[in-house]
Amino acid sequence: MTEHERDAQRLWRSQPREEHQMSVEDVRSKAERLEQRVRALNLATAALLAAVILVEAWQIWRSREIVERIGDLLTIAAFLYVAFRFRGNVAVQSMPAGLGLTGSVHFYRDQLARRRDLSGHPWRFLLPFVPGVALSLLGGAPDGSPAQAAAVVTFGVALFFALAWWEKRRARRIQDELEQLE
Amino acid sequence: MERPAGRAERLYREAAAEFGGALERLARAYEQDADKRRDLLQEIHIALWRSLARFEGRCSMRTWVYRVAHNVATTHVIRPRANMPAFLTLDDVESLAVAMDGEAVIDRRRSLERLHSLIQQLRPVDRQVMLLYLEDLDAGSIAEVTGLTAGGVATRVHRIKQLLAARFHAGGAGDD
Repeated sequence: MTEHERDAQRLWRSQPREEHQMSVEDVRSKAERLEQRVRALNLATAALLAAVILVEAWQIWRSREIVERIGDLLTIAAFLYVAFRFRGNVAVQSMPAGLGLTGSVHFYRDQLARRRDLSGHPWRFLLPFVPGVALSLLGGAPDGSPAQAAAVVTFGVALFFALAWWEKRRARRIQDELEQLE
Repeated sequence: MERPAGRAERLYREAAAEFGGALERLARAYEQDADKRRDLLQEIHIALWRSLARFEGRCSMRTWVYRVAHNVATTHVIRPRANMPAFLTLDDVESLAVAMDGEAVIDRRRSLERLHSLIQQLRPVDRQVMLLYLEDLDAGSIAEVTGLTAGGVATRVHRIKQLLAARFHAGGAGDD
């Protein structure tokens, strides 16, 4: 080992300790608070989903346009399906206890692969919304003018494709990083 | 016979006493912002505390602690990076380091700041290897923590040594 390498290691390891040091009691109480926060966040997510469904249900009840009502109903079904299908991704999770069992590069690879798989198939979570949103937009187009309806549908389609493109782009970047790990 | 919770608490106390300094340095290398760094360090300690219930001594305590710490810190780094912005490879950082060679790096604090900034630009895997190398772990121990092959570690460590030599060749990295 050269003197430069030893210098760098010495420099690194001689850093002064500046952070507040946590006692065991601190760690225990913070771990409990973390669990409580995770539970609260999951409850908040469930409450948000319930609120969205309530709003859609209220629109079904309020709307006189049958196409729009069917669209809202399909949107509710899409929310329920996506929430169920991706419940593992939607729910906030506390830290896994097995972090010490996995090598850090394997762990990083697994994290990236999970994100890539979610972003790489955006239609899995976008497609369920297409029929409902399309019918809602069509049924809700003011005065039912064909030009306005076409504009609204074009906007909806563009929005879905933009979201899908964004997710695919993210998946490609993650895949690049994964390939560099090989 | 020792209760599981009591055993985990004892192990945590031992680990925190022995590796507390290394965990602080690791948090500093992953997070520049002081508040976020404190949060990250807390997160590492909590994860370590929770993980020790499953520690069965199949690897050394040092390997376990570093695995937990790097896994938490890597999650912390990639969590907000929705689009995987480019981390730098060792090649990129090497070229940056050459550009800095002209300056006389004699001030210890500045040297440390530059070392931190260099580490924070590295891709997570290179960052992990570099930090473990700076903590003076040998190639076998680095392979155990990361899960890389011994050959993969040797290649990366070789590149890191070259990088550090280039970065610190102006001398006095350890000078006051």
